[in-house]
Formats: sequence, C-alpha cells, structure tokens
Amino acid sequence: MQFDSGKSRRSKIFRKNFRYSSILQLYEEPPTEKVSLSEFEEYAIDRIKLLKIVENVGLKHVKGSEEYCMAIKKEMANGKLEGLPLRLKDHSIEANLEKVMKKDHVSHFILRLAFCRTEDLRRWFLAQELDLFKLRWSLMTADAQKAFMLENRMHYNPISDSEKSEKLTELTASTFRPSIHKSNTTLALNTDFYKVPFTEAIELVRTRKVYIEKGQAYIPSNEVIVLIQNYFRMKISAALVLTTKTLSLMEEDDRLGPILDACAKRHIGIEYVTRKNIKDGEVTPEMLDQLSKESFPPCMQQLHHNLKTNHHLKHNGRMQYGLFLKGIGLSMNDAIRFWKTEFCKQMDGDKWDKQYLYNIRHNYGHEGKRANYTPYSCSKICSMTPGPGESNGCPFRHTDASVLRQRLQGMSLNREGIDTIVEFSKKGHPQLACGKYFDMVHNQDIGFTPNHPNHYFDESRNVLNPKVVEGQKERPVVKPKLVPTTSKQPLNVKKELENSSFDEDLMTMDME
Amino acid sequence: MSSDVVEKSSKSVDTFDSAWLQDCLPIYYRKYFPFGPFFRWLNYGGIKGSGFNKREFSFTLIGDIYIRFQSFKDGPSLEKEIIAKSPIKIDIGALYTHDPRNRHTIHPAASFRPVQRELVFDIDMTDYDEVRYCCQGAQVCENCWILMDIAVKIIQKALADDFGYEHILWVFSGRRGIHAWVCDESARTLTASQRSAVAEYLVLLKGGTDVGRRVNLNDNRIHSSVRRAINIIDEHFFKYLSKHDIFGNEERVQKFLKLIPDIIRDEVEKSIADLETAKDKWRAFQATVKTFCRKNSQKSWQISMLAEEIQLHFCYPRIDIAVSKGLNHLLKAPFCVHPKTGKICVPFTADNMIDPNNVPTLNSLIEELDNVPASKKPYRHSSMKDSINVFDEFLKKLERSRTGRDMENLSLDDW
Ligand code: SF4
Ligand SMILES: [Zn+2]
Repeated sequence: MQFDSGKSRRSKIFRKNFRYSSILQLYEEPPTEKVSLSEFEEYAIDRIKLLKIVENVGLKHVKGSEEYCMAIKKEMANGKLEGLPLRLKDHSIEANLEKVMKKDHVSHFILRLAFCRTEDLRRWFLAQELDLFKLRWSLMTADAQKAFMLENRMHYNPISDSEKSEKLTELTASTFRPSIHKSNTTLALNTDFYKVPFTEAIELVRTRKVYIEKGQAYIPSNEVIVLIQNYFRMKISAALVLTTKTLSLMEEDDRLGPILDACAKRHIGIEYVTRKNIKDGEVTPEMLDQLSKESFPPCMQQLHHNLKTNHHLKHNGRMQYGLFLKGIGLSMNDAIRFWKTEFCKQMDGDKWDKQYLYNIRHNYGHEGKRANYTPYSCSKICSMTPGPGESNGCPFRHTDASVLRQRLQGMSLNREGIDTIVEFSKKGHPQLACGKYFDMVHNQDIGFTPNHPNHYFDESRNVLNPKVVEGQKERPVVKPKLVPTTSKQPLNVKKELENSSFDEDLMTMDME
Repeated sequence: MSSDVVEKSSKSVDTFDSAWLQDCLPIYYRKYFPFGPFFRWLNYGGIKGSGFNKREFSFTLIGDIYIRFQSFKDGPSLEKEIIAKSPIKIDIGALYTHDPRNRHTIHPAASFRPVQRELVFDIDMTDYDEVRYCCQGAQVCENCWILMDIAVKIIQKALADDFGYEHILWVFSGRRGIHAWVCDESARTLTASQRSAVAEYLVLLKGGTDVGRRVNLNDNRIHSSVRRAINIIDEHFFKYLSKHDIFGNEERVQKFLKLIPDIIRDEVEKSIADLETAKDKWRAFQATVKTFCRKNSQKSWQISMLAEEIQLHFCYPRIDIAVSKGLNHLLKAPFCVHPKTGKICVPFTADNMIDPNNVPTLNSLIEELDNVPASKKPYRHSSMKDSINVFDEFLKKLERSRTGRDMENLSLDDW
C-alpha cells in the first residue's frame, strides 16, 4: 500500500466534518497517507472490535433504541475504543480530530481488504458498517444532517403542492399507519415528499412502505435517511467487489497478507468453521429423526419435517438443509442415500439421479468448481425470502406471529416463554427469539444466542451430551490470534474468488 | 419443480413419448418456430450493448441431456443449431460480460458474470393447491384457471402502473403455469437486489402452506397497490366462490375457520351455519366482522381488515420469487413445446387470458400442416396465428420505443 501526498485535500474534508462535528463519511476516496505496519494492525483490530460490538449489541437490543445506543457506548468504553468515536464532540482539538478521522478512514479501508473475499464476509462487513453509519447519523443534529447532505451533494427537492394534492389519497394510504388519534390526510399535507426513482429506495419499496407510481417512489421526509443509507450501501458494496479484483496484488505482500487473513478469521461466527474433531459420518440418516427432535434449531426441524411429509423440498430448502447436514457430519454418501430415499417415495430413482445427484455432490465439493460450500448462517437464512410452497428460511423471521404462537403452543412450552419468543420475533430479533427457544427446550438459562444453525446444534449436543465434546471445554469455534505469523499463509485468493462468484447457478431453472 | 412427482395422467397427455417427440420436433422447429420474430426480440435492435452473442441459451435434449451456456452470433446460427438439435426445451438465460461459450478462457474467472436480463415472473398452479378444489398438482381446469387470470391482471397492473413498465410479454408455460417477461430496458438492467425488491413488493402471502391465514395486514395500512389488488379480486371473487365452494363440506368449513382469529371465530361459525350458498355465507361472514368492529371498537383493529385478508389469502398471486430475483436464472423460452403435454408455450395478453386447454399442440399443428399453402409461413396460417399476432404487437411496440420509427410496414418474419 503506497500512501502519499493528497494531504491538503484531506485536511479540507476534515475541517468540513469538524464544522458539524460529525465523524460520518462516505469513504469515497481511498487513503493516501503513510501508515506504519503497527498502525495498520492496530487500526484493523480496533475496527473489528467496534464492528463486533455493533453486531453483538444489535442482537440484544432494538436497533436505534436508547438502550442500544447506551449499550454500544458502554461496550466501547470497556474495549477502550476512544480512537474510533461515534461522534467528534469530544475531540475539539483539531490535531486530534485529524488523527481520529484518519483512523476511521484508514481502518475502514483495511477491513475492506480483509472482508472482500467471500460473499459471507462481505455481507457481514457491510451489515455492520451500515449499522455503524446509521448509529452515527442518528447522533447528529438535524442541522448537521442537512449540512452533511449538502456537502455530499445529496439534494432532494420536495414535490409541489399541486402534485401532492393530486395524489393525496394514495400518498396517505401508502405512507402512514392509520390511527384513531390523528388524521393521516393532515399528516400527509404537512409532510414533504421527495420523488426518486424506485431503485434508489429499494428497502422502502420492498416492504411497501411508500407510494410508487410509474417507477417513481414518493419518500416522506422522515424516511430520507433510507436514501442516504442506500447510497452508502451501494457505494460500499460496489467497492467491495472492486476491491476483490485488486486483492491479488496484496496477496503478494508478505507483510500484509497474513494480517488481512487473520482479520477475516478473527471475525468468528459468520462462517461456521467445521469442528476440528468432527468425523465425517458421525451422523447417519437413521439418527436424523431423533436428532431433529432433540437438537435441531426450528429452521431445520421445519425442513426435516417437510421433507419427511412431502418427500420433496424446493431448491433453497435443499441448499439450506443439505449444507446444515453436511455441517453436522453427514457424509456425502449418507447424504445421497438420505435424500434419495426420501424423494424416491414419490419419484423414480433414475430421474432422481438425473435431477438431484449432481447437486448433492456439488454441495460436498465433488462437482463443478469443487468449492467447499459452508452451511448457511442465521443472517443468510434470515435474509432469504421463502416463496410459496417453500419451507426454507427462519421461523422466527418468516412465520407470521399468530402461526408461530400456535406452533409453540403445540409444543407445550409455557405461556410466558412463548410470549417472549413471539415478542422478539415480532420486533425483528429472530436470533434472540431462537436463543430463548433454545433455553426453554433445554430447560436452562444460559442466555445463549445462536448466530448459526450449526452453532445451535453443537451447543445443544453440548448441553444434552457433554461427553461428546470431552476435552474440549470451549465452544467449538476457531479463534485465531491476530498476529502475523512467521510461517506465511498465503491467501488463496483465486479459490475464494471462484467460491464467491455465483455459487448457486445450479438448478436455477424452472423444472416444469 | 415438484410437479413431475405428483403428476397424474390426464387425458391424451401421456400419449407423448420420446420417439414421437423425436419425429415431430424437427418438423415443428423447421415449419413453425418463429425464428425471425424470436431473434428480433432478443436482439433488441442490435444496438450496442444488446449483445445477442453474449446471451446464454440452454437446451434440454431427448434423454434429459442438458447443455448450458450455449451462445450464438446471430439469428441464423441460432436457428441452425435449434433445428439440428431439436431440443425438447430451450431456456433463455442472461446476457453475460463475455460470450458464454468462451467462459472457460476468461481470467480471472470471476469477471465472467451476468449483466442483463429481462425481469421475469413465474406463477405455477401447483402453488394454489391449498385454495382450489377442482384439481391438484400438475392438473389445471377452467375453474382453477380463474385464479391465474386474477394473478395476471394484478401483476400486469402493478408492473405497468407502479413501476412504469410497458413491454411485458405473457407466456403460457405449457402445462399449469404462466411466465411474464418484462423487457423494458430499465427492467433488463436491474441489479439482483433491485429485482428482489420488485418481486417482494409483489409478494403478500407469508409462510408455507398449512400455516393458516397467510396474509396479515398488520398495521391496517392498505398500500395503494394492495387496495388495487383487492378491487381486482372483488370483481372475480364470487366467480371464484361459485367454482370453489370454500364452505362446501365440514372439512372445508373447518379449514376456513382456521383462518379466523379466536376472538370472533365462534360468532362466524354460528353466522354461516344455516345458510345455503357460498355467496350467502361469505356475505354473512363479512357482516359479522362489521358488526363486531362496530360493537368492540377497542378490539376492532385486530380484525377490521379480516375479510380483505382472507380474499387476498385465496386469490392474491403466488409468485415463485426465486425465479425473479436472480439475473442468472434460466427460464423456458416462448414457443417451446411442453414435452409432457405437447402444448405450445404461446404468448398472450393480460386482458385476453389464455385458455390452457385450448392452445395449439404439437399434434394439432402437424395435422394442420396439410392445409398451409406452401408459400406461406405456417405459423401465420395455423392455430398459432393469434399468439403470433400478440408477439408481433409486443415487438412493434418494443421497436417503436427504441427508434421512434413505425415498423408497421416492415416484414416481421425476416432477419
Ligand atoms: S435463528 Fe438461526 S438457528 Fe434459529 S431458527 Fe433462525 S436461522 Fe435457525
Ligand atoms: Zn382445476
């Protein structure tokens, strides 16, 4: 990494930021300063710590709430992360300010390098950076927010009064929740609406939160933050993909390679690392009925149940469940036997071989790109959208609250616990709901929160049958230390690249 | 996808065997397949970036041999290959960064990726099994097709009015479903996440089957697009009820009552008990909800939209959104022959819904061949005529939007 000159331009940006005392930036220009190797490492570690805090607190509290913000601040103080503050208020000396801005700027770019390599890593990094961005934004005053938008040439013009009155009914109905206390029409009349191409506000379109007409979305002023976030997300995710391409250069650098590598690995949990002591074939198809009752998380129970009753699962379900089974130690040959037996209760074997065999071998890395596909994480599962007739996804995310309640009642869990689970699920905390569910079915209270279905499974086996993991006290997740090792571990960029391109291009066709 | 598994033999359908296909498909491709218009469509005026040669086609050959990543430099070479191979199915994929045939020679491998593709939708009658009482699985009849008609109308409206798309091609998928191809340039260049946003905007039903009511207008906000869908459903709802008596027997009544929240279930059950027709029962149910809301304004928010929710539960489109989300998803081309039914996958328009049991088949077309004058294009002088007209109209509009030129007088059949 060569950093030089460009100092004066940077200082200008710093001064602007200083004016409205915000640390918020869009990270559009890569850093040009010189950074020492030890700084490089310190920056990387601190930002990962910060993002981990953002992630963990986000799992326990409602994002954007008072407690959420407090908890993050507290954790940051514990972790001594003053170097990466949420706002600039406490750094009124300009020299210090510059240092803070530089650290925020450079550390972001280092992590881009470390986290651009697989889809899972990119997804995680982007999600946490986005939450951090939102948090910092929410701590700004309205004036500062306006200044920031102006500074970054994000200018939105409200629609005219005549256009508003022409579409008043639609705008009102599509934008606001009905309320007995106030008139939504009045509310609409008092709100500014901004007209943007719907592609710039896809999160609002997806959830039908705004009115759209002829490709234009009408964004009420209180949702403008969504446009800015979206802009930020687009920029960063495009940049991540681009970074992947330049990464092979970094790979050749003896000093940085290992640091970057360790960075990504340090970030535990998103990518489920298969247990070291797992024996392929530890689990056989015959054990699955029992295991699913005892130790499967609800998302997998649901798939297992559906497969057993319908003798079929659609593509996404097969992927989600198949990789999970691989993760708990079902060997490839057993997997073939298992799926085939189930499906062939309704179809003939030859046909099955033709349509599905390749797919299973592919999941185990025996076909195609021979990639070693990893089981899906909770965040991946929660980000899916199961279509009609599909049973993949997370029950705490994708099942309607009333149905969820019914199912839980069917399992004769106690009333109070069910309320908690349903409440978490309604508020958009599937993993917290799942953790509570775990505690209840295992009759304990360890405050466990899964971030991966296989993690759930391991934890459950641990609780039910501690002997299995004898001699292994800690949770079976690899936690490498972030220290450049002397033995060089080159990044296998090429392989990662292949994995991260379109890994599901199989079976993505209409089979009618 | 599961279709083939649950398929029951119906009528003459299963008389199709592969030997027969092997004989007739080459004739169909040579005489009937409208290669000219077909290429005109996918060539998009040949303007820079439309890159026909970077388009993926895939073929399924007799014996379930499946070849992906085929590409062609122009229409004639596509025609030649299709006639030579006579595939039982042709799928259309995305436009890639590079000619898909050369994908192995590209470095780095990751730079080979899909960049453009029509926005597509797939609706399949099997996903309606929980709300139809005539057929199951792969079978369809005019009674359940009412639901497909409603779906097409709702989606057409949403795509046109909400998203502003103008070039939407509807195609019968040959057995029990329909596809939509949105071909506006702005649709073809959508990213994967934008596609999924559009698709999810159009999805209202939650959860899998047998989970009870699948629509919950939680905060009682009725988005204008949902309101419009309810209005469309309203127009067809009694027709649906008359063909699918959702109160027809005890089991169905129980199934219906499962959709009703506890607080009003008993009252609803009582109110419909002594009535005769489905229509009367439905009206009684609506009235019960209204009365309840009036009397219990405190609790009314829980059920004030119940009747609408249930209508949507029965009739709102069930889209297979995985198909719409990805750029690289393959979808069967228009004018394919469905290998199980022999039906041609013909285009139609949203306001003139196709009748699935009255489309040209491989059989009928081969027979008609005797009556086509030698000098004429068989597809314009046979039962395929109407759907070719639909396709022509679609192409003309597409071409007009591109060039502003009126293509009316140009022959549409030549390269
Ligand atoms: S939270 Fe994770 S493990 Fe639990 S059900 Fe959802 S996806 Fe599965
Ligand atoms: Zn029917």
